[in-house]
Amino acid sequence: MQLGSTLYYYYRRFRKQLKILAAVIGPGVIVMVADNDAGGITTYMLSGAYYRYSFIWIVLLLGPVAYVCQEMTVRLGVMTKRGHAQAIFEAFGPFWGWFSLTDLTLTDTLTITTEFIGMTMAMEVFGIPPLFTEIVVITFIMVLLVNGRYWTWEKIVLAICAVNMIYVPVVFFIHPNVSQIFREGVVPGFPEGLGGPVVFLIMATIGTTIAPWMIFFQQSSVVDKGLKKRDVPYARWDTAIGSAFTVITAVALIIIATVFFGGDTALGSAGQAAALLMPLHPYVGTILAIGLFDAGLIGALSVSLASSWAVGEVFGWSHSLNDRLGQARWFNLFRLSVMIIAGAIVLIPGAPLGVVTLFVQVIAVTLLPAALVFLIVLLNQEDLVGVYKNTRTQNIMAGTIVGVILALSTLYAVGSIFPHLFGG
Amino acid sequence: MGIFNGAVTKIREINRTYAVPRIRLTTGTKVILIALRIYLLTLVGLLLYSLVTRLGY
Repeated sequence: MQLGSTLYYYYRRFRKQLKILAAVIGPGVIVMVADNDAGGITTYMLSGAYYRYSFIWIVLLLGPVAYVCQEMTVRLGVMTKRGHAQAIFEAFGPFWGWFSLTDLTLTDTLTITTEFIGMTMAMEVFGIPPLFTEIVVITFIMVLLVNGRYWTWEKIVLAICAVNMIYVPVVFFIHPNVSQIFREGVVPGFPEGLGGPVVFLIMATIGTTIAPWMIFFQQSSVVDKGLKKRDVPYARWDTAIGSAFTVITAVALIIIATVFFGGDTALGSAGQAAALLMPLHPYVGTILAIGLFDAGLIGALSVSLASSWAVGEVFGWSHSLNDRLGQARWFNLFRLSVMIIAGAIVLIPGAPLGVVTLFVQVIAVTLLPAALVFLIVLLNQEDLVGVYKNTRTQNIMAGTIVGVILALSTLYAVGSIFPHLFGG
Repeated sequence: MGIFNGAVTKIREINRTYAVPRIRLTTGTKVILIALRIYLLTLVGLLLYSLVTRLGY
């Protein structure tokens, strides 16, 4: 009888916790899934095509790293009730504030350009012209805001995020060699040593997993959703679940790329991969194209919000998703302008899209170390974050991550600017 | 012109609002911020140089 009532108590408690988690879940999953955006999908496809399963262990390692960085934004957002841009302005003054805001806006506009490149390439596989794709996407993104409710927006975006997992079932149908995956992918090692394009692709993988916009997005999202101190444990689960989704999708993509393109160093993008697969394996080609479009859509939805929230906070505009379109008109107008500019760049005949794709990574890299340093400094201010101040262990972990990212991102930026240094 | 003037006024107002950093910076943090500033200026300089060179071709 005693055992029965104890079990019933735990069952009720577990159910209650699940209900709270279901309500809190959102910002972490969205930011992590949006991490696998159009650029991310291409990076994972290329790593599988060029170096087979060898990048799987790197992706497995980057999941927890992304969690450590993003979890800090949850605590900061909940305790300060401010987005990251406003927190930087308040804590470090106008120089760092304007630097972060300008860099973020520039990076986000260029990132959205890469999302549109991915989406238009994916839809071209089905014969849909780029202009039509862009108009439909921008209209859809803006229509999502008409309702003026954060919760509605979040649930629709979570449904779109679920489509990002479309690659996972494909892995079970293509029967990859499991022992080879463990042998080549899970045991750490570098194909062909640590030189040339391998370094470049490793850095691109890191760049796609931990991006500055993610820090700004999740902090603002936590604030806009109105999460409270008591929600922090659940928001941590939200971030961890999102991180797991990201890793699972990335591993699935590397496996798919290895099975179909393993050793093909001529592959240039995920869109090209989908187009190449259509005549041979129409189902896989279709799924790749749908997944790429979905990834670009989630990316455009989230990245455009990150900079709009940041600019809205600093300029004192109404900037909540709970506001109706007209109420937050400057915020929405800014978001719409960013998307129109990004979409227009893709449509310009002969536009230097290669240079855009390259520079988006480099500019993001210049902001990332600063954003992470600010995050750590802010999370060590007891009067700001109270009990959620970083512990010594959290500081060591975050400090190590920043150190490694700083070294690698510098190499990446310098390598992008002077490609001959890495034999590119 | 009115929008431009409005924007400039708003930027000045933002600069005034956030003129004084609101957290206590230790010497270590100040050193890190100066190092970060030098690092970023160097990187941005290299980036601009590269952009000009690439677009020049």
